[in-house]
Amino acid sequence: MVSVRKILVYVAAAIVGLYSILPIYSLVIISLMDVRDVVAGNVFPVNPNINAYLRIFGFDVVGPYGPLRAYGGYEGLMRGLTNIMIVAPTVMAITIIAVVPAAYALGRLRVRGRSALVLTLLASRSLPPVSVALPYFFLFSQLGLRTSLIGMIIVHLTITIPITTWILMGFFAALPRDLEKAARIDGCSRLGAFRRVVLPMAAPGIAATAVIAFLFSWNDFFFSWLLSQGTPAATYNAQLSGFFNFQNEPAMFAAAVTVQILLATVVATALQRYIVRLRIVDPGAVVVET
Amino acid sequence: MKLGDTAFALILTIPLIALVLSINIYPIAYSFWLSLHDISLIKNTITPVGLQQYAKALSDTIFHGSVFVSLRFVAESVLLVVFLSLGIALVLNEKIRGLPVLKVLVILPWALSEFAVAIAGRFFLDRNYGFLNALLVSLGIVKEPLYFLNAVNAVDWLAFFFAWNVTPIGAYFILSALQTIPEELYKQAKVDGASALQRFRMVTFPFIRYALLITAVLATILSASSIVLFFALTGGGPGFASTPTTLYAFRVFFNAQDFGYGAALSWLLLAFVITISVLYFRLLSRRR
Repeated sequence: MVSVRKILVYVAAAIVGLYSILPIYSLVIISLMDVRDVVAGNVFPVNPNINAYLRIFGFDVVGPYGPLRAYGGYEGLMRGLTNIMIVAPTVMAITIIAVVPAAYALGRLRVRGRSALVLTLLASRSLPPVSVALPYFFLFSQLGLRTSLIGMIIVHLTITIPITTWILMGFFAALPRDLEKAARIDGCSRLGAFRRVVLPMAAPGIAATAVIAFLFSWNDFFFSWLLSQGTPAATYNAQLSGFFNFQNEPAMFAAAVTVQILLATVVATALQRYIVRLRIVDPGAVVVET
Repeated sequence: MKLGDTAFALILTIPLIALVLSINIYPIAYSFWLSLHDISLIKNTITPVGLQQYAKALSDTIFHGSVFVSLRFVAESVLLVVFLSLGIALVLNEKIRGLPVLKVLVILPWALSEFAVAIAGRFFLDRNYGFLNALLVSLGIVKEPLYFLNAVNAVDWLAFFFAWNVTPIGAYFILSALQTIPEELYKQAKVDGASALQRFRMVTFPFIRYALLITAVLATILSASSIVLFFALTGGGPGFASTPTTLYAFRVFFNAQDFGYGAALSWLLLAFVITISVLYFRLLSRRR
């Protein structure tokens, strides 16, 4: 009886694993296939090669049926990669500097009107992107922000700040209070107690939210594409839309997308240990408390 | 000078709220103003038309179709997200070998952008080089590659890939709730002769109810706002068969350049999302 249950659990675990990985697998194998594998309809690359990667990074290669030119838009793609490598870490840094004090205050202090503050922040996050798309487009065109990375950073901050405040608030609220109280009684200032006692305890939570902010910025397609496409400030994701015109080159498209998800998945794998520790805030409790 | 807790918190919080609101209030107000006007780029005129743009939506059959697509997509997405998250969380809560590896695999789809999910979906489902067709053909299950993203099933596949992307976060919410359940409660229930289903209903469910609800809330709000997935996986097609209200409003804005009508559509969408959010918050604060 016990063993039947055990087998079922392992079967379920296998299904969960396959479910999680198969779409990613189907993307990655195409990036490693050449035209022979694609035509044959293979489920794994029989002739694996990295030609597609070389081509999107601007190298001419020799394929099975003669030379293949580099991807025509590779300069834009590389500039996009540079841009997002500036934008995403900046967004992450500003988010953490802005959010840690606010989340500490909302999560740990007796604040009147806390639920109103939290709801104001969260409500702005639940706006459908399409509802703000056209006004953003006009506003950023008029201010000349479409062609600068600063505009992109501002837009990403309006996405990352509400969500990370909410997450980190719950993390601060769940930390034990005795040590901080003891530090205050021993003569530490509020800032001193925060720096010496709360901050070290909160370090894993802050690291996790930093990564979440980074991923939001790194993964944003809608605003990047809407606002920066066709400008020098175009990010990597915005440049990826160029592949829509290259439907007959699936390998290069797959390779370009794989490059984008590679860093994201590495970061998420590192984050995975912490994410279980990030308790979500119960907005209901917040409402009742105040 | 000694500051009270509330004042201290306000000093730290107000700048953030000011930033977020200042960048959001203008667009919302501006798009409402647009929705009350008819804007012609050719004649270069802006005519106030009152609520006519909203009236136009009532008789626009493509808009009706898009509302139906949106509702179907949201309903399927929420059901898929909740049940898949619960299933995955229950598996991750078991003591099995290779659990750390499985936990990493499970989180991967969450790390992908909506765009990457759509492209992974394409390469999974494509008729010419898609993995699923290659697998089905090589196993001899089908003879000819299938066209999965047809007018009937496109929305189902979109909902599936939406759920695939969002499920990890739901699974982790539910898992952290599952891990707060004391072992003794299960033992006690077994002693009392409760069946597996009864144990789930009487012991497990009360502990994870809140996590399930939060997962459903997130899935609803995110799926109602989703646009990139449609844009990049099916392009809204074939025809308008998988065009939700978000994508239709976007197309009216940017392709047809009918700014007034597009703004009106996006306001209808906004009203829908706000209504759902308020209902959910009511539900969340009452259920305690």
